[in-house]
Amino acid sequence: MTTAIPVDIRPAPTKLVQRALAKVARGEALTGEERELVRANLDALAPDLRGASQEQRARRLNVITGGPLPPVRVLPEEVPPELSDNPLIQLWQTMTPAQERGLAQSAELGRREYVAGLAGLDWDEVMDADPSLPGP
Amino acid sequence: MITAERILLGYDFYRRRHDDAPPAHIPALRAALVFARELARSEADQPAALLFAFAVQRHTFGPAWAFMAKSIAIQEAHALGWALALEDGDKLVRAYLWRMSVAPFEDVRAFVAARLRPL
Repeated sequence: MTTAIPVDIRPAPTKLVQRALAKVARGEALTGEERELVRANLDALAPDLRGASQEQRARRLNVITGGPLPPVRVLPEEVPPELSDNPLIQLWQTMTPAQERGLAQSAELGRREYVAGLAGLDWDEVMDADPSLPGP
Repeated sequence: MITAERILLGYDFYRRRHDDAPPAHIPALRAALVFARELARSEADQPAALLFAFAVQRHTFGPAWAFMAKSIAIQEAHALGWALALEDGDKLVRAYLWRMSVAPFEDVRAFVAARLRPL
């Protein structure tokens, strides 16, 4: 009679985390399990958050896991009086819907590029594999 | 052309809303403005020159580089009396912005000029 030797064939956690991050970099949604995995590894992924508030940690986790980003449109009540004449802040209040869409898309692509870096992926290769991001 | 100080104030405001954004790299910001002034042969070139320069100096604003490059270019166009929309849904915008480092400025100038509309 032979004795079965238990062999854990699951990928190492870091590989699983990298796989989850790669999904975000490609613009794909994470499962709840994958989000939890990233949450459990947040300290390793974002060492600068050591000692940060729970709110800051939650915001970073949201970015890394592909959660919704803050709106790009600024509301007048958000602007302190001393910044009311700043031309960029004025743009973010008065931009057209097409400009708003364009800026939101760039914020999202910027996030994907950032997460690709965390996953150790080459952003050019991510773009090459994404048919919605044409080459030069 | 917009000043470094005004860009920094705008970006600091952006950072407060997105508290994950890193501080601006100020030498890179100033270098991008110098580069944009060198590229622009006329006032009309300034939006394209700013878009190009901040895409080349893309570490100025960390992950927000494209958002800020576009914002600065759109704002400059607005100050000169034009509306400029740069949607990533526009395939050329994606190709030029996200691979700007391999596109010559002359192409970007023509590309932006074709997207300027009078206000």
